[in-house]
Amino acid sequence: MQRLDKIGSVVCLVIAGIALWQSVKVPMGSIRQPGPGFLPFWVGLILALLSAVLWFQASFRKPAGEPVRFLSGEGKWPYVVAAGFALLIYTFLLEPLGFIISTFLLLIFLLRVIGKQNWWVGVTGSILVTFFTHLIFKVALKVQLPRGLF
Amino acid sequence: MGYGDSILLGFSVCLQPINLFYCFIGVFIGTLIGVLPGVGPVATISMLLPATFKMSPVGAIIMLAGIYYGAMYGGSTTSILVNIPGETASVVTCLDGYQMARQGRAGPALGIAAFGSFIAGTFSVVALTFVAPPLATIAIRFGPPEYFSLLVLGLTLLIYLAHGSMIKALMMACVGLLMSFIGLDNISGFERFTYGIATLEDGLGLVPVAVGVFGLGEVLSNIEESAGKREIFQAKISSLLPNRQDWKDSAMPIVRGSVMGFILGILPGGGHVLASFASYAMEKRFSKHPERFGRGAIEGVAGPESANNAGAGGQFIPLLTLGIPASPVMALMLGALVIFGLQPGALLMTRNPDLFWGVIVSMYLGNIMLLVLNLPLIGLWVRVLRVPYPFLFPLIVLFCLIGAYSINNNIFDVFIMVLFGIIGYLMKKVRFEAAPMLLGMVLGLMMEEALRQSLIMSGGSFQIFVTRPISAGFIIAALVLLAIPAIRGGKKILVAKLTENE
Repeated sequence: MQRLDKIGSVVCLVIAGIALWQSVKVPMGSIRQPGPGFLPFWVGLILALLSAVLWFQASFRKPAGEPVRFLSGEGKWPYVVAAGFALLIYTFLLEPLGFIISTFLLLIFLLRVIGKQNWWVGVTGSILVTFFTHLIFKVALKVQLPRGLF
Repeated sequence: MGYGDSILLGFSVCLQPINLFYCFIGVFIGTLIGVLPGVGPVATISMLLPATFKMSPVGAIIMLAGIYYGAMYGGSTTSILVNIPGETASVVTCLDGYQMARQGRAGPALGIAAFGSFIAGTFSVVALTFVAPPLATIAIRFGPPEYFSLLVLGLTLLIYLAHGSMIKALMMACVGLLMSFIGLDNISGFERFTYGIATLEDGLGLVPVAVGVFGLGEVLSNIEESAGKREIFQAKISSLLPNRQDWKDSAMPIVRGSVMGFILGILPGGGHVLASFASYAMEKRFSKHPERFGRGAIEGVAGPESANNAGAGGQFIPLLTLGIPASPVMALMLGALVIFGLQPGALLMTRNPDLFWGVIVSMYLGNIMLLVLNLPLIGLWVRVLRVPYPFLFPLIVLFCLIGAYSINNNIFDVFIMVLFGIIGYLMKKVRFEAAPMLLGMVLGLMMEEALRQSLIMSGGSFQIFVTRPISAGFIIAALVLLAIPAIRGGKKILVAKLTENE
């Protein structure tokens, strides 16, 4: 937990740094006439201070009872990483391939690999879900889903 | 326009078949997602927001509101039967509700939760009817300093209620504020934090971030925890009707829960979660047999369940009268209103009385629908719970993706959603809460505008926030709230329960 708090505080410190750096690039204004950089600068500064406080708190606190399991859960964490990557790939394929093909592929992956269903369930499930979501969102609700190849 | 006319107007709007239909759909979906752990009202409303663009504004808001208070009903079912809270607001219901179910009293527990919710929900709508108009007239006189102080109060409250470390919550609120500054500055037109990415000029979308953090992030952590295996309490639910003794025990908790829930709901940042915890703490204190709490005391179900429903109703007050969203859900409602070209706030009631009263009256009808829907359909909801997670999560993921895409038909939003899904998962792991971040993001621009205008008004003096009476009141309230012991008690239970759950 302490280590994770430290990582969190470093990440927040980086965010604060970006905020400070970016906010001085736009006019700060004065306290009588605050400009667009005014609040981002102060919020960034507060965030930086809080990050430092959290870091020291984590350093001087006695260790908490149970450590937080990170990407654990009986060795299931690779599935989380895989799902995350699959979704990122999906966002890149959605426009070139279109909604139908890319969704079908994503669902097969999620059902078969992450959900551990057999191929039969994976394929029929993917076809049915793709078909019905296409029907509901594109045909009935007229959402402009990417056409791609189809 | 008197109250009578207003309410009649509301009924005339609400009883149109199409609006009744939207109301029904709303409460039905709300109950469904309330029952399903891992899908909350925030994710659902953001996913369905684009689908409402084709509806009338009144219909859309009626449906979205229905989803919200419907979820409050549904959440209790899983708490009682499975010991898994469907919503955060139902966490305390697990304490006594599940114990009751184990003692073979699942029926009365579900029954009192439904009746209590109904009574409290109706109470809060009646109170909303009478409190909102006078508040709206006061709110017209609010200037930038009042708004700024109120927003500070809201954020303070939310941070105080953080499950774990207050410092972390404060940090997340700061990150949220910084996220809200992305895009063009409202006042000067300068670009901030865009790095030349054209899509970022309009700012970071609330919907992709909310769907990512609350929808996808939740799915990712459930994949890891293999939530597919859920023990469902296999008990025959004989009678849902609580007996005479149950009613006698529950009457006062329901009344107290309703009143307190409503009051806490009004405060920005408070809302239904705080309401249910505070009610539990209060009932334990009022009870002649506090030792029965945690062992199946019906008061421990009746009070919190009433309080969270009353809180849900109360939350509409800051939105409808001040234009300030008290919670992420209300922020999405605000987004919906803005998309329909309506200006939420003090003038909404006079400019769009059909929407204002139509939505309020729809909540009366929605509460009746929920009672009718819930009692006979509990069997169905239990069956929904048995749907294995491997079938459920691909659907949730898909709805998240479509919801994020369809808001602007922009692939960049999908990318942001996936990114924040991963960030949300990591935040959950390291116990950085998402709610303060999202609220900071929602309130950021409003706060900035109010602060800058206030400082221009005062010529650079911060005294303006304490010399104006209403503004000073909010600042004092923020300080006083930190000292209310009842909330402390609630918070302790919350912390204990959450660490136990994880």
